[in-house]
Amino acid sequence: MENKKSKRIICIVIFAFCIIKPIATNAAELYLESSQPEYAPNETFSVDIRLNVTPPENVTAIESYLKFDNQSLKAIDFLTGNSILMFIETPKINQEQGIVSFSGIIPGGYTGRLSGDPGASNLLGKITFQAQKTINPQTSIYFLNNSRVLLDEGKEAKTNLVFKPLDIQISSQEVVFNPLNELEKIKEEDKIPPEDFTPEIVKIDEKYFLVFNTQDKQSGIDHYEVATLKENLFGQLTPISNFEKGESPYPLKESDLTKTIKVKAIDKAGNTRIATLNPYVPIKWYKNYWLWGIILLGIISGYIVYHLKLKSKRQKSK
Amino acid sequence: MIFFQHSRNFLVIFLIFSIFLSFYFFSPIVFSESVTSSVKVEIVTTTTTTTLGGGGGGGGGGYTPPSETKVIFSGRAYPRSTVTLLKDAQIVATTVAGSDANFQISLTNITAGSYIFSVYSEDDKGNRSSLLTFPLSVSSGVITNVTGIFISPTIDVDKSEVKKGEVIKIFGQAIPNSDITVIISSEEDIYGKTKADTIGAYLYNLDTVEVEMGEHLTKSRATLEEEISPLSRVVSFKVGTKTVLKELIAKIVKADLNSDKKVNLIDFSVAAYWYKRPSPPQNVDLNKDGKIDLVDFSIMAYYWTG
Repeated sequence: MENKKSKRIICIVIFAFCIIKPIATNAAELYLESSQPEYAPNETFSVDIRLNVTPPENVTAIESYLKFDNQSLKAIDFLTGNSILMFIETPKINQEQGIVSFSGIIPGGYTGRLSGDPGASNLLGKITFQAQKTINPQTSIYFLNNSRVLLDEGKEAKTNLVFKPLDIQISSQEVVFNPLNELEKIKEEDKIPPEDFTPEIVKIDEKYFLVFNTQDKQSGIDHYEVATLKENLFGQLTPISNFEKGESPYPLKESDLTKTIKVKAIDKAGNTRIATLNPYVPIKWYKNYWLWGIILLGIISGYIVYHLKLKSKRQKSK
Repeated sequence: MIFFQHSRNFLVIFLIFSIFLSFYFFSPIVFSESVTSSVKVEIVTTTTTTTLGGGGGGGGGGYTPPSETKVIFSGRAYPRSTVTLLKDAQIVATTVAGSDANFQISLTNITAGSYIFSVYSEDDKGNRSSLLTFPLSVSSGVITNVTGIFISPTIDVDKSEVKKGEVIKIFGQAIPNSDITVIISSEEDIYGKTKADTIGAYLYNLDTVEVEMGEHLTKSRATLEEEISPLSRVVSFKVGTKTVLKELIAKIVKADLNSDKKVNLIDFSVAAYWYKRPSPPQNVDLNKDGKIDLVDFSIMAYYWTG
């Protein structure tokens, strides 16, 4: 009787564990980090957005929406320096709705940090916040449910995907003396211009566009500017248009294809890197005013020499 | 006696609980591909500063030359193959592997920061390996050695369609004398074994008599001295009612939107132009869902060549 009872218990236990979902490690995890858990009103601080991946999962794209309490926090800037993402669009801050959004890809995919890597090479971006004077001492920054992580060729990482929020405490004591905040510190220390890059011209939808992309490993790229130049009679490049703010892909006019184009990358600290693109379409010889200048000079010089020789001959004959 | 019997029951339950807990906790690790396919990359960080002693009596001051920031990548590809290195998705260096398939690439003129590096190789038939990507933090004034890079094999098939019961050749190039595992997707995956020769070429003849009709995918990996390469690219073929030899046409690279046989910033920019715009061209819509969104970009990232 007792034996039958034991066997029954064993069967029930086995059956129970057969239906328990296996405990598996997370495939991917998006999480937030800050240097301290508490800030005073008016104090500026950074929140790092990071990604953890468990091999063999291969993360190729991320789309993220971060929610914050716009009464307790003010989002000031999104820094892309040292990000492993190639951003599809410039990250957006919507202070009214309290949402920060960004999306990007990791060319080749990301399968996690390597052992022995001396740094944390899993940064997606950095948001700078300013704590506000608020009646809510406790606030939270979290990922919205429509945030996505894609694996391999566009596969959704739905199972074993974790979003970890960040809790921030705002103290009642306001900051009277405003030290150099984290954002200003990063900008102050950044003396290095953005990485070298080469713009290219591509045809899309029967129109020409200028494409460019570079990185800044310190404060991050702030924006790009584009200018067109032309050669004068002396072969010097003179600007046709001043540097204007622009994003890649940057639309070009047909006439721009025969001009020299300069692209300026500016980081958050104001350091710049300029890349020059020679004319995409060589200028037709008859439109090359420099050439006409030489020909004209040649004709004039030839006429002067001929005239002087003729004069000299006449004088000799006299 | 009764107490003893109850204790025995509890002991049995506890043992079963422990076994199943272990099984469920460790099975994703034990049966995961990551145990058998992880690539070992060793990063050894050393400083380069050297101090020269002062001359004459009295011990004069020494001179410390400025440290250089450098990253050295070394590993194995295929004999005499071109190895390409990407930094943040753009090509920065190439080299040619030796006859022993070993290669080394040094990168100087690099600032401190976090980078995504990628490496791939091309075999003697122009087939590219899959991209091996890894993140790395580079510190200023430090030489970082990244070792143990093991490039995945290349793979191709001789027929786009094979008559059921006939043989299809699966071939490619890998590290010389490595053991090759060829995986064919089927109702149950089929695993074939072969060996790469002294120049790294391998060939596996798949008898399709037991392969069901329809589309199949195949990929391979190499193993040498307990090191395992990542999986190769995936190649498709069909088992049907006739045999069609694979044409020697220009290889179509998926996500190559401007047909330059590369997937890089230009293709990314083309896709970025059509992002959230209506009626994108068919060749830009990589998953054929009528729009350009994150999924298309994900596919592009997967096929990135730089």
